Amino acid sequence: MPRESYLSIGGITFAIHDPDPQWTWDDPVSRFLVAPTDAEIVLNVGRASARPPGGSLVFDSGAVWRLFREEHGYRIECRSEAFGPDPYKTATFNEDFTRGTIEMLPQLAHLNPLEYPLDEVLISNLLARGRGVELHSCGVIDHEGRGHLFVGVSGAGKTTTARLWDGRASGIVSDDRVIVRERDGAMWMFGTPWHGEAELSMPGGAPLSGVYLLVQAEANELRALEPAEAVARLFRCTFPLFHDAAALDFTLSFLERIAASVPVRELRFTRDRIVVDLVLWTPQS
Amino acid sequence: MKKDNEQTKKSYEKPVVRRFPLRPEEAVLGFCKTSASTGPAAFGCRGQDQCFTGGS
Repeated sequence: MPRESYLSIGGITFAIHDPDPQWTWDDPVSRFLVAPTDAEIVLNVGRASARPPGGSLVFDSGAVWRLFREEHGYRIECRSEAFGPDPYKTATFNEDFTRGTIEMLPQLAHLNPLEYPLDEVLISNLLARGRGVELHSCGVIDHEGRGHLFVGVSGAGKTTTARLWDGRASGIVSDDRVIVRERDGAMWMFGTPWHGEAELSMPGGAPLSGVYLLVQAEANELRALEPAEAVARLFRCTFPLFHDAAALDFTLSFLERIAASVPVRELRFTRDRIVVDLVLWTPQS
Repeated sequence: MKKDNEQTKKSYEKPVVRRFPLRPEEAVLGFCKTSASTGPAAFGCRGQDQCFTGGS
């Protein structure tokens, strides 16, 4: 029996049509399911067909996926040694990634066709086309509804930060990946299904109040950053489309807008819960 | 007046180039944090179960 599912991630709505679904939505992606809506992105699911290889290779991730340019759009192929030389999943998209078809190997029909990394690669392509940016970060909503974004590479302390805020936050939208978009002239942060070690992930978002670049240190300290340094250090924690100059341009300009909209500071912290007070008591302007 | 402007003008600071190295395994989606994980999502995986471990 055909199934239509609807997801909303970072305010981007997806419709996923599968004529013969043999898989289910699992946690945490299932938290992002929404009622039927006029979706911005429409995806159709099918079984792998004999498709003559075409297009030119645009980007090889070095991991499971590769991006190809086709005559009227793009193709993403996912391969794994477990399933032989052919792609276990192939997704084709139109020019702006708003329409797509995902084809799975028949023996993998039980797997979610949007399974990582395709879901996040798709989001990255959508965000970089004028919608926003995804940052390697932990997003905390305080009890006044303000969003605090703690940004850092792996090991910087995102999950630690999430744990330090336990009991002091009204929500943690993710302890590893947060989407930032502009809404009504203000920056907002949104949760994603992609979490870190604390496995914290929730839909929804909050207006962004401050951005903190995490540095583990001997003492707690907040240090203001010049916009250029802020943008460079934020860029390091994005997932850039290295093959797309226009997308890189947009991402950099969007980071500039974040730095112009909210304070971006370096947060040196000691893994002590007192750092929560430092953040909450520091004026946000 | 001209003198006041000169006094408040910031002194020239020579631009400095600073490098912020990217980590490919973090900047590119699809790498798995857990080397022991199985599933098609992780590079080099040989298992056949779905992987829920997000990469860096």
